[in-house]
Amino acid sequence: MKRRNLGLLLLGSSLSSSVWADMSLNLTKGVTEVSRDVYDLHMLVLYICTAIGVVVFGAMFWSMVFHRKSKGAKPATFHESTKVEILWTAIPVVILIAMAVPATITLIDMENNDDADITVQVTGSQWKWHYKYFDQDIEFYSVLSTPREQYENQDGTSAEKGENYLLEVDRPLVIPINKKVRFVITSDDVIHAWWVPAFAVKQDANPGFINEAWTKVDKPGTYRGQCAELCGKDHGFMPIVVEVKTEADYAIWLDEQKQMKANAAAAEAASLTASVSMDELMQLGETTYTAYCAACHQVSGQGLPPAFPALKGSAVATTGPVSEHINIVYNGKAGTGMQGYGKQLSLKEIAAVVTYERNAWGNNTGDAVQAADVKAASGAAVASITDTVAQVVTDVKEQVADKAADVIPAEDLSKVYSQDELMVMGEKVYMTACVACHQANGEGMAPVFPALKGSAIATGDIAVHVDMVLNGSKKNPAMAAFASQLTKTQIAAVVTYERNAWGNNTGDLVQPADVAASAK
Amino acid sequence: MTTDVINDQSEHDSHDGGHHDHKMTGLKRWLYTTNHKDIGSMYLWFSFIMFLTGGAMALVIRAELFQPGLQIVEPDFFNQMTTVHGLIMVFGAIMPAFTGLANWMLPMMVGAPDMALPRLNNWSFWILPFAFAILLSSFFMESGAPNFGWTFYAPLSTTYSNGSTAFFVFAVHIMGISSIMGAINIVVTIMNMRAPGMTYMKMPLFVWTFFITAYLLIAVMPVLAGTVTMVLTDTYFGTSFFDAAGGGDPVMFQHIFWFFGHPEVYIMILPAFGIVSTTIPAFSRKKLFGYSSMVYATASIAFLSFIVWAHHMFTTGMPLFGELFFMYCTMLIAVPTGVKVFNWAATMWRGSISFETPMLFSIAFVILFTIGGFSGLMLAMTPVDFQYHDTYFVVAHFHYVLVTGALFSIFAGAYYWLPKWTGYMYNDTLSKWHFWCSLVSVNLLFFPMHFLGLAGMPRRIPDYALQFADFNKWVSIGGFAFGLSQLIFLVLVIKCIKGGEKAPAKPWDGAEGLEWTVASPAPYHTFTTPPKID
Amino acid sequence: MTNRESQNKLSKQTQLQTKDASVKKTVKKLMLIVFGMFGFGFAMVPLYDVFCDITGLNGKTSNVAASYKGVSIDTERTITVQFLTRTAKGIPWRFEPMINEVKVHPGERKIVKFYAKNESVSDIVGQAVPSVSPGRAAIYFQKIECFCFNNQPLKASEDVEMGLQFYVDLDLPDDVSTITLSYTLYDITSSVDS
Repeated sequence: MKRRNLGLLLLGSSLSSSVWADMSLNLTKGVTEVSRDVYDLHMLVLYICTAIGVVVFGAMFWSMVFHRKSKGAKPATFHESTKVEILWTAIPVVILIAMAVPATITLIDMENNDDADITVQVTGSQWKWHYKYFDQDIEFYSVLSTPREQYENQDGTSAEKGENYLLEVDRPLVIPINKKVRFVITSDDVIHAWWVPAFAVKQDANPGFINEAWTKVDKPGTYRGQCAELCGKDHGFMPIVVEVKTEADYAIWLDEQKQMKANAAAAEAASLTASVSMDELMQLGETTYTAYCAACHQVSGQGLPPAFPALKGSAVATTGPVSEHINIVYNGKAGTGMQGYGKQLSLKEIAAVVTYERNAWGNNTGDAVQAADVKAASGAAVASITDTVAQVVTDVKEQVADKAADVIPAEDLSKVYSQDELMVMGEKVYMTACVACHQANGEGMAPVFPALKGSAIATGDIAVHVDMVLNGSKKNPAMAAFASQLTKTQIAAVVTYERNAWGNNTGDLVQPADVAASAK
Repeated sequence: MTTDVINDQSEHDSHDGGHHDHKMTGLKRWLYTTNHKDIGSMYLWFSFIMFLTGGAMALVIRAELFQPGLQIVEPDFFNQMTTVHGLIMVFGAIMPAFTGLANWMLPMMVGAPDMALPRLNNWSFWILPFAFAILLSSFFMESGAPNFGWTFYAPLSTTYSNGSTAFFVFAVHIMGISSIMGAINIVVTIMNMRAPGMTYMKMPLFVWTFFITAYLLIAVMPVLAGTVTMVLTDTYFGTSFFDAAGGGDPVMFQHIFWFFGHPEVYIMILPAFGIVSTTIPAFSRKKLFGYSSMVYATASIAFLSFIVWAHHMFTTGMPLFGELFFMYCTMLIAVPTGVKVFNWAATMWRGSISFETPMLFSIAFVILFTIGGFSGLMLAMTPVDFQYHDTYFVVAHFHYVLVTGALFSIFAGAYYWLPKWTGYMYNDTLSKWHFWCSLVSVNLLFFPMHFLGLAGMPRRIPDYALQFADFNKWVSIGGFAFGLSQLIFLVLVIKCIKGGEKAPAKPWDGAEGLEWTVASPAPYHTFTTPPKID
Repeated sequence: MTNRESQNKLSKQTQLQTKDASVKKTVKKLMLIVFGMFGFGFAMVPLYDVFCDITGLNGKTSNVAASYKGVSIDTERTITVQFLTRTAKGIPWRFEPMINEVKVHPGERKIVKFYAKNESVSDIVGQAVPSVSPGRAAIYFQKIECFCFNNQPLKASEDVEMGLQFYVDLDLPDDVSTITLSYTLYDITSSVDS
């Protein structure tokens, strides 16, 4: 093998240039037992074919050199020989059997999908992959992350191409080493094929049907593959990246994913109450549109009719009802290439992209769509992701509205309360407005709902603390603004409480007047 | 109908006693002709025009792939190029070229005055340009041309098609009808029009291969017609043959398609076997080794071609026993194919070989086709096919089989019979230029594709990762060189038609067969009185 | 025209006539093959289904209810049955199994529930299409009662718990210990309406 590679490399070096060394000339050995078996089989057949080739072509070249008319060769007259003909029928049969035996053994091994440690549901759609871990509550889309300017060079300009050009994604599939991982593969639209050469796994993703494949990787690393079945326009732009981690790293990763999920859920819940300005919607809408929609509907909004209709001036994006527009973006449209983005984009992003589509390219409807509108129009599907958190937030709001009245009958901003009064009142307010997230013991639920006990906010600058409660967090959308939900006295009380409870013991007393001052 | 033609004849002073029509002139002659030689010429010209058209599309593909990034075309147009390139080369270039050769040579080889069904013959040619006009017209429609690959896998070609499905389906229907009519004509001619004394086992191998190919065509083109009909109704009339939502199955499409598709592959290579089995003995000055085993090998390849179709579908999720069955059957095809290659080598062995252009193309055919056969054997091994499937390795494989296989054999045949067709010897230097340029460039074009595939480049992608850049550059250079080399052939043929050294009735001293017993150029009517075969 | 020539021509004509007849016969036979094969193309559709039913090719399961014979239960073996769901494009339903996987003994009857909710503002008819992996286990996966046998209409915001009653055949090959059942849900409102 080495010698053969050497020969090819010599051939290669004569043509060499910068990236040459990166491409192997032979099939990859891969990182699994199966892939090595496959590689061995490949080499076996290659050697056999080469040997047969040498014999047959050798005989032909021999005749061409020595039995040529110009050398005065006289033709022989034989034109059949049953013996020889039987011989060269029988010998290939024997060789074929010798090849079929190891092939059969490897194949039986490859097809044994039983007793998997981990099952991942892989779903292809135009033109991205979706991974769902069967027994973990984790699922995500994996999309090409190479920036458009790197590959769209029709106008003659091209951004410098990165190292993993066209083979990089935003969120790779992550699996642990030395575990049998089973892939259950299907598709949402056309046929795709999930292929990672290093695992020797290639299986078609058929819409409506599931296929299986498995792997057991023995070396951590990042392995890259591509969709291997023509699936429409961007078939060349849906790579597969698998990160194989040690078991410990894999466990860490799982935790991270769960945290990220909670974060996203909280952000989603927060976005429901938020009112985003038109400018911000348009800005976010444009980025989202470019990333998710422009491949088909084009940056110009003119689409590629008839498969991908224009949005510019279209009924859906102008005169049609907003709810119908949202519905198509959220759920997709049956029987067309339009997929549903409900599971891929946040409510806020969908709101933004719908707003953008209704106002860009001269559509100018003036409609500004908010996350809450999306939720209303698309049905409660959102709740499936954000149920709990949304519930918590709504409950809190209701409770606050209900109970606020009896806590403090009338507000007197000039009144100065004692520490005890503030602490009693503060605890009451905390237990209705804050406890759901920050918990009774002040320890919160990291990372979305940070601890208050011993936190910088609750022990540091009073003004920052008050501001946070009044106006909410700019970084963490889960932290809502309470200015309109609580009275200034209540806020003063709750801030005092937070600064003195759970051993925070700052001794700070915050009076309604202080709150009023910073609210201005 | 046959009698009509002959009754219309007036006496003519052709030396073999042939007759002559009231030959019409200009366009009408070609529109109304029922003469097998006229129709054969039209088929050959048509296929060459289609070859250049499809080749131009290949060059668009290679230009786009010259370097990473999207430089020239949009991905969707790229897909249209790969799709129509495939359709044109298969149905427009290779198949009509073989039909053209059959039309020209079969009646002369079996000693018949014409094809058995001359008017059908005219009809089967003249619907072809319309089929391709429909197909190509889709480029100028809003929908664009078919972009779902020449294999038109559902549901990409049905629910998710760009609207070109109807054009595609009607074009394929017409091509299919044309092929079926052509095939019926070939079978009927061979069965009924052979000269007295020419038994089946005395027929030239060329005739045998076309006979078997025609049967394959008759058996599988209707299946293709059925497939495209189902695609049409799925797309426009709400059926769900291939749609899981309505109880259909997209994998079934592939089964039906490849039931047609695999014999189709042999339809494009068996006649090539016939051609080189004619030329190699002629230039080795020695009889074809193992004539009867060649016939049986051809027949068994044709038979096996019906039970290997699912080897195109190993990754679709077949059950283990299915994968094993199709793997074994596919490997079995290597046996009769091997016999053929061994027989050709044995024919050359201890011959008296000379290297005229038809022989050069034939030798190149045997070696390069065998390389395509080797990669075919590798692809047959299911576990390894999981790695090769839908990569450039497959692209390399079928281009070795179809370009250096089928196409090279057509060139060999054309160079072999050109003096018979035109009455002039062609320019030998030009033909050698054509051969050597083609040989070098075709290998530069297709050989590196093996490495691209092994390194992991999928087929049908408009842009690729950086590690594939160098090879793609060389492949593209090879592609343009190969494309330009074919213009030499065009010039050579035109020059040869216009004039040159007069060709004798039998310009090749080792050639055998009835076609060499008539004058060059072959008179408009030959063998109106059947020759006697001992 | 001389006498001999016309005689020649006559004999030629009769010769050609007999040839003509045999040509016609061959053409007829070949046309039969052509039409037969065109029909065969379509016949492959039901043939394929039959083939799938027999072999479980492509993980297709039977779409008629199996009757439970309940002869015996093989408590020696435990099979894990996993449930996956997927909603197709354009159907705004929530559709998920209420339990991810169950363990069953071959021959034992099990009932599992799937939850579906129409989250849109319009009435929709859904159809779940099952697929089983590994394919060869498909014929041993017997559904006594399944929501996939019929379509499922749901009014706007309506929800439903749908039952699946099944057992795994005693003859399930020994080397299969996990069966995955996937349902893809399609919107078939338009085809039901028409």
